[in-house]
Amino acid sequence: VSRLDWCILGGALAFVVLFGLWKGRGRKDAEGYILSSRDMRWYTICLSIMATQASAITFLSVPGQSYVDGLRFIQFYLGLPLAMVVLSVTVVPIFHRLKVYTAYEYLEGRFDGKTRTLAALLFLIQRGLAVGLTIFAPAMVLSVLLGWNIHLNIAIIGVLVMIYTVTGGTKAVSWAQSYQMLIITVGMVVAGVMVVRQLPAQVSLGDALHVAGALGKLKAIDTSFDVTNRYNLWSGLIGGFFLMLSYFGTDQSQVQRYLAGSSITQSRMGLLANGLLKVPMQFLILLLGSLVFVFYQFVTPPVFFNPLPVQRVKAGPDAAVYQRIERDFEAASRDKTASVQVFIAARHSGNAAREAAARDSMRAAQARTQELRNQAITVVRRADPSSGGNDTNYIFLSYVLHSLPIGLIGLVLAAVFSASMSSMSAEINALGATTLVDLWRRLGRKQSERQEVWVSRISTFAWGCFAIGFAEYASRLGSLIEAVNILGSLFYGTILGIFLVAF
Amino acid sequence: VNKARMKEEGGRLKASFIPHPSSLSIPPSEPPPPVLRSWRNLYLLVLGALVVDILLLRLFTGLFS
Repeated sequence: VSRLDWCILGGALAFVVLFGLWKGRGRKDAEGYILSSRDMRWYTICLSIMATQASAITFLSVPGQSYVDGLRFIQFYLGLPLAMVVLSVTVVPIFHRLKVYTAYEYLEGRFDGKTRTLAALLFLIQRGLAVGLTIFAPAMVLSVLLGWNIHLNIAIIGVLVMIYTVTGGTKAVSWAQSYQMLIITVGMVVAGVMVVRQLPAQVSLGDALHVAGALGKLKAIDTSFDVTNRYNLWSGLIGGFFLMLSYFGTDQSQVQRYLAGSSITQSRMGLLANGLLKVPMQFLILLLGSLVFVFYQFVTPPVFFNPLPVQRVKAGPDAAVYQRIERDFEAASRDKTASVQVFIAARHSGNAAREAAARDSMRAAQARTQELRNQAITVVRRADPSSGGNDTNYIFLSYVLHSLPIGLIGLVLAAVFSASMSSMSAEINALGATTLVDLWRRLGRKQSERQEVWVSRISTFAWGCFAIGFAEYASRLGSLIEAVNILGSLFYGTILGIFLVAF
Repeated sequence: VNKARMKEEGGRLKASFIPHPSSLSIPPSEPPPPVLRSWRNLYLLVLGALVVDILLLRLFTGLFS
């Protein structure tokens, strides 16, 4: 990372914090602090919703997912537009009419205080643990690939977020997220343009897509009804629908975004715009991963992208085995590059029979490199079980750090930091609001609006500190992290069930 | 269902009971964006876009397989 990259990264982050502070100034009552005085327009709501959902690990992991597994992950998002329509028809007008601050407030009116407290506590536990992972995961990737101190990285992200979130509340968070989405979009578009430009001169975008398609990286839709297949059209439409219904309808970190709308129309439009944009956006991020895959058909990639477990393997008894795999992989990759070039030449010749033969040859070469990669993964998993033999989070950033020019690395790093900060800010903002509205207020103490704003600020600050503390500790949890995620996802069905009965 | 039982004070709900949402007479009062004329058209636009997305993705899969 050069000095120019540091300047771009530092400048972008400093601007986010200052912009958030400026936009969030002068919040003097609880409604102003928690719901931005209900003055948000639909485009800010839409950007805020998208930025909250897309954490840094989304932008690091999704292209890697596509590199390994193709585009089929896109199907996971197909239930989202359906959920946006259902929420716009049902939840948005009810919440607006009742002028609730949190989703859980509604439950006390429909049922009783205990139900409200239960739902609020489930949210606080689940989201409180998840927010730590929101900053831990990208910090881990950056520390491994760049050698940065992970603890310092977590602390910097956490403190920057807390500065404008604690001070300015929802308004600061939403406006900062709009700017963060701009950085993220520019960063990803630039990375996409660069990967196409870095392909060999004779390889067009069309050729790249045909190579990726022939090697199975562009299969987006699978209509087979197979319950053992995690990503197909039906699991996306049905499972994705209920997951998104729960996330956007009952998770305060999202509900708070559209409750800040100036009217039912603005909140609905924000959600529906998200429904229109989300699938194309995810498609482009996944396509970026497929193009990175094509790039690595002409440049030999590492056999395993996460260098940390590889170092452990090389220091252990399997070092000789791994080095033999690496040598074979390099040779197989060179053969594959040659077969890809033959395939492209065959395409250009227009000879269908020659193209089909070249395609078969290219697929055989791909199968050989994949077999060697699988062998490497087995060795890595044996030496370092905590890695899970999974390197998808490291693929895209490896490409960025080793292949993008100076300046653009800083831009993509700014996008990663922005994504991490945008998710964390919305989450601690919602945790602080829920603590005030669903716990503190119910203790029955009469307080002025000004005092409530301070309680909300203090609880937001406390949740931010908890998130940083949990993230600092997360590296020692190992596979427990996965358990935390699984535990969190179990609550989703429960909370959705409570709300479905209420509606 | 008695809507009067739902009271609001200082932005806080004081009700012990909120009626079922169907009795809240949720407005058609707020107009949709003028160009789309009705909310139903907007919902159909989003659902139509989803169908188009799926068809395009299927076409994309077939075109480059």
